[in-house]
Amino acid sequence: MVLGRFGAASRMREFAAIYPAKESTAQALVPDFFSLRQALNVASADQRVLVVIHGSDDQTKPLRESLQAVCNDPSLIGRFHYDFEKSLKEQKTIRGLKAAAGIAIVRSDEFGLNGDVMAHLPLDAEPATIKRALLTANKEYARTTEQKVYSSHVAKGTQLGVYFEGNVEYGEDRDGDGEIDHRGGSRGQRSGQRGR
Amino acid sequence: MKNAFLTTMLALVVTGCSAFGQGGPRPQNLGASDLPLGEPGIHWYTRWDTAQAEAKRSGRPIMFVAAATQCHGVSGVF
Repeated sequence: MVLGRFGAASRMREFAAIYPAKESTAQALVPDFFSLRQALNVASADQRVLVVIHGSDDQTKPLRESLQAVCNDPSLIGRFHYDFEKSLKEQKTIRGLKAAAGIAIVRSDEFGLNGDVMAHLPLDAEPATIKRALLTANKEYARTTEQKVYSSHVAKGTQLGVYFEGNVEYGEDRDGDGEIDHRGGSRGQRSGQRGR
Repeated sequence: MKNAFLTTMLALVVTGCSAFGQGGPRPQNLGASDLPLGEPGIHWYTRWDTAQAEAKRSGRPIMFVAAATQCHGVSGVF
């Protein structure tokens, strides 16, 4: 079923009633991203704190499991994004990020191209410690971050020459023919801040 | 939309300005989110593999959402 712009909430409630969870949602798997670059951009777009877990699979496996209870905690769920990284090829995009394995609590910047570490924790930090650090970071982020206004964000980005190279063709299909409407030409060659 | 289904549905976001589909508003007509900063929104799964694994684990259906974290190449916005 394809849900339209209106009425989606009520239809989803109907589906949720038809397919109730068979297992506890308190132990739902921890989300992840394909890349740190994508994580920064989504965290910026959602205006949420990003949690970067850096380490090998062996190093992060226990945390991936113990984090389930933390990230599904009612006081935390839906307030953070999580990204597991085996190596930090994009380390330079986040100021203050340590090369050593660990947990970095990150504030993504206005356009999601860079970030700043708000706090560091070791991989073996206790769940209660992680929860406390996340709550503190979320409070600080909400207190010190200006809420985005869509129209002015896009206008500012355009003025600054921000361009995010994505994998999906840019544009809109406003005429509904299933094809991107190509109007206004490409901005790909503009100078300014570029996210790659 | 952002906070309605936190514990009842899974959501999957793929990156690709989809907020303005056919007949939708123009970017210059959109303001700020209704959701205050720091408040909970949808617990997105942004990868198919983790979304599918969680759907199998919990038996919940997947709400598949195609969205882009850019508009006209400007990043940091849905």
